[in-house]
Amino acid sequence: MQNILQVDHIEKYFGNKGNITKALNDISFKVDKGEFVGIMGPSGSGKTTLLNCISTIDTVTTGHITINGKDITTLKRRNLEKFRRDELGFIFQDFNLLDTLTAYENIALALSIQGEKPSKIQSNLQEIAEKLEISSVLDKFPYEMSGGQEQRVASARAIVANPSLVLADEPTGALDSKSSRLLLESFEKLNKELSTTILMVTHDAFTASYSNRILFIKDGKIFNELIKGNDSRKAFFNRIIEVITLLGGDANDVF
Amino acid sequence: MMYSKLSLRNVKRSFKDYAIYFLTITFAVSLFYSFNSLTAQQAMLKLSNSQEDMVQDLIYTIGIISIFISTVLAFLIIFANSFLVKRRKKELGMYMTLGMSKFNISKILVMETFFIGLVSLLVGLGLGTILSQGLSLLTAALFQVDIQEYTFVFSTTAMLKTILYFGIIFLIVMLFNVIMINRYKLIDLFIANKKNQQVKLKRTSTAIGVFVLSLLLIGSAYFLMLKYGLFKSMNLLWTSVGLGSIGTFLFFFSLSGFLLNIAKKNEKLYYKNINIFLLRQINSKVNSTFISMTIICLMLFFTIGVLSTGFSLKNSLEKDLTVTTPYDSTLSFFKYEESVENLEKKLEELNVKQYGDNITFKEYYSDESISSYLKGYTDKQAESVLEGKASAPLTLIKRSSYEGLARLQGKDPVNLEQNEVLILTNQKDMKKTMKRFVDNNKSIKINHKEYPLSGFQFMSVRTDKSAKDTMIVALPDQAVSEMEPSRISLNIQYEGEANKADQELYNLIETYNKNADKNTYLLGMTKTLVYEDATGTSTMIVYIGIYLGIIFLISSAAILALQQLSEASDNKVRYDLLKKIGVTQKEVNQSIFKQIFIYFMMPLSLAIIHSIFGIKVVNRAIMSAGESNVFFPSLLTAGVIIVVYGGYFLATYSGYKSILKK
Ligand SMILES: Nc1ncnc2c1ncn2[C@@H]1O[C@H](COP(=O)(O)OP(=O)(O)OP(=O)(O)O)[C@@H](O)[C@H]1O
Ligand SMILES: [Mg+2]
Repeated sequence: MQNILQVDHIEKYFGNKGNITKALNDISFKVDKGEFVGIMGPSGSGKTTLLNCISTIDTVTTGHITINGKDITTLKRRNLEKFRRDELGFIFQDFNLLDTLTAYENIALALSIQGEKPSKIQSNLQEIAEKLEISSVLDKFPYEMSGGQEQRVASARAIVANPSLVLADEPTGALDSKSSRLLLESFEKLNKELSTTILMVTHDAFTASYSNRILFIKDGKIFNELIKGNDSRKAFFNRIIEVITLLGGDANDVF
Repeated sequence: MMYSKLSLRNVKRSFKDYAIYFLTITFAVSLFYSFNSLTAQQAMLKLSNSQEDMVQDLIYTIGIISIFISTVLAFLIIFANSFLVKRRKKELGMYMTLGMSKFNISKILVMETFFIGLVSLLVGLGLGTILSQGLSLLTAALFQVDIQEYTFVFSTTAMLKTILYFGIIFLIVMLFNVIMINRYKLIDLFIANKKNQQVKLKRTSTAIGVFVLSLLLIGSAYFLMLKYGLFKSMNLLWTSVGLGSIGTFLFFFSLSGFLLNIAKKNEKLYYKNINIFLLRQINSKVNSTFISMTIICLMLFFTIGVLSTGFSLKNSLEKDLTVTTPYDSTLSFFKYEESVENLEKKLEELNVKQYGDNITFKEYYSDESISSYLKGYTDKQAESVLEGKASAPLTLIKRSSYEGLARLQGKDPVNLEQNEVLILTNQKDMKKTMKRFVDNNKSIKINHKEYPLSGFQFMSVRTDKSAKDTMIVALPDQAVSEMEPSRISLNIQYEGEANKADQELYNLIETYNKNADKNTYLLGMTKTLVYEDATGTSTMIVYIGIYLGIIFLISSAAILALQQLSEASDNKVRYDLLKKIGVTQKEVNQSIFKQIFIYFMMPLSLAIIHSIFGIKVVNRAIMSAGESNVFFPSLLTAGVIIVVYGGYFLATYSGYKSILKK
């Protein structure tokens, strides 16, 4: 399997001398192409920080992150920007669509900034819209859409340019269970059909059960890893709950 | 005390936000002060009595214009202030949630306004004092007088006036702030208006229709002015102004309805980089600010028009005075009730012949009108001269008077045979028509008698402010012996000291008309007075043009700048997001630059197009009065606009970037 992401002993400190938070404390892991990896952990455990470091929005204090063979911790700003645009796709917790643009325009923007041809933009866009079942809302503005629709549009924007790696921070955090399911099914579809590599941060065991592998983080460290293997999703879900309860959490209040 | 500290700190902290607001008020104060300091400038200039009177007129006019200007500035400052308050919605909302009462929040805002007002007033007055030194040089140049001796110009009256006017403006601003705060609900302060404003014209076809209509209106305004000229009639002028203004309004009103759709058709443009976003930004801005766009466009049009034509108007007013000022001075009486003998005696009693060589002559009105002679020979220019004067009678003078008049201005009189007559005119526009007339007529019939026609001569029979003698005929003396003269005039060429003669004659004319009975009005004009009057009038135009023009320019640029800056913080979120999805910082900066640039250029472009036509029209109107050259003034205007407007643009751009960085 081709290795897409490699995280090597990264640490991230916040604050100054007197008051230091170790948000990430020596984390290492690998992600192969076509994997769907979930990251779980209690609030404040460093999930968002990890994702920000991988997504080049933030920088690590020590350690190395290699994406598609490139060590992003040593890239210059200009190259980082280019890298981010060409290799990564983001889905944020709070959708983050541009409120001044329609769904269509929001998605098209991700392609136009890569310098794609208009014809390719249009065809790619139609294709992804059908896959994510948002064709009917393409001409709507974010405030005219439901939360689920918005999140699917944001997902479409993240993956339309075929990034090597899609990073999602609690994509279902603001959705009801039906919308969550719709979104996760489309993630699954993207992962299976287009072999898009996905790294997804979540609180929620149900959401996590859609992935193939789960990394558990606590206090900035990886303390457990679950692999779905040949289990059904139901079985995988139960194993996740087990880990959570085993490590002192409450099964209902997942972390 | 705590509140004043808090507000002082706020002002200091958000200095960058306030910078444009502060600078604009400071500029406005300094302009206001320096134009009102004219009274004090006078001391330094070597002005004649008549020029002093003109400066008084100018001061009076500027006083009135200042009232208008302070109203404009009041609107500007209130507008700018409300933008700043809106920008701080969240901060004010914070105060409220912390339990501060609305009264106290208002107090903070009032304090802030007070501090800003105080500082900008002080700095503005300082700047204005420097500016007024330069302005007095300009005044001297415009009046074409020497500077007696350089003195430092400071006008206490102007200072007090500035403080009073701006004090009132700031009081109003404070009042507005208090009202605004009292009307806010906490929720409004926290929730920014995230929804896109509704597009005014939903259907593209309607928008295009309105746009075409706007072009038609603007076009017809241009057409009317180009066809009929500036001075045809006031109604026509106002109609054109009205059509042009409504056209301009509809232009900006309709723009947002189809601009985006047209841009979408051009896929290469639309799908390039973040143009999708940029176009939306511009479109939504135009959609919500079309009214201020219209006002700004018209203000810029005024500024460009007045600055580039003002100077040429001045030049043309001051040129070509040689024709109408052949004598050092002219005094004349029209005959109403009194007998000619009486008037002659009165003229004698003025005791002005002492000043030099002179000639007294009488004018007679024939039974025929000028137009009745010229029918069929007139061209367009002549028609415009004769317009409204269809019944003006032909003026006659004696041949001996003609000869004397010509000699006194150093010309050899044309040799005339026995019964021959000569036509005189001093209007340039009549030259061609007169030539056609004398070429086609061997004789002319005056008071039912036929006279052989010698020709025509381009000359004035008196010194006057403008060329008014359309057609005068010099007849053999005996031809008018039976006629009653209508006007009696005296021309003088000074011998000895001209200055003294000028001053004494000026005083004489002024006092005579105050004391005389109303049936005799002494018309008096000296060559110096004509020149001074021309410079006076044109100086007035240039002065007011510069004053209003620059205030308008600053106001326009400030409104645009504040409109952009006030939404910068809303856009911060958007640009941050763009950066997250991989738009480079450079591209973000380019996008901001383009957004502001296009926004600034939109009203300016239309204003420039308006101005090209406007200048053309004014030029034509001036052409008939004299030569004019708008090239240099236009260049100067362009320079002023590039510096002021460009300065505001750059300040906006850098302010915008620094808000996004926060
Ligand atoms: N910019 C920052 N400055 C200082 N400390 C920070 C900053 N960002 C995060 N932290 C700290 O780092 C730690 C990890 O934060 P992080 O946002 O990664 O948690 P998280 O796992 O995403 O939590 P949640 O599930 O609540 O989103 C926390 O203790 C947090 O207080
Ligand atoms: Mg988080």
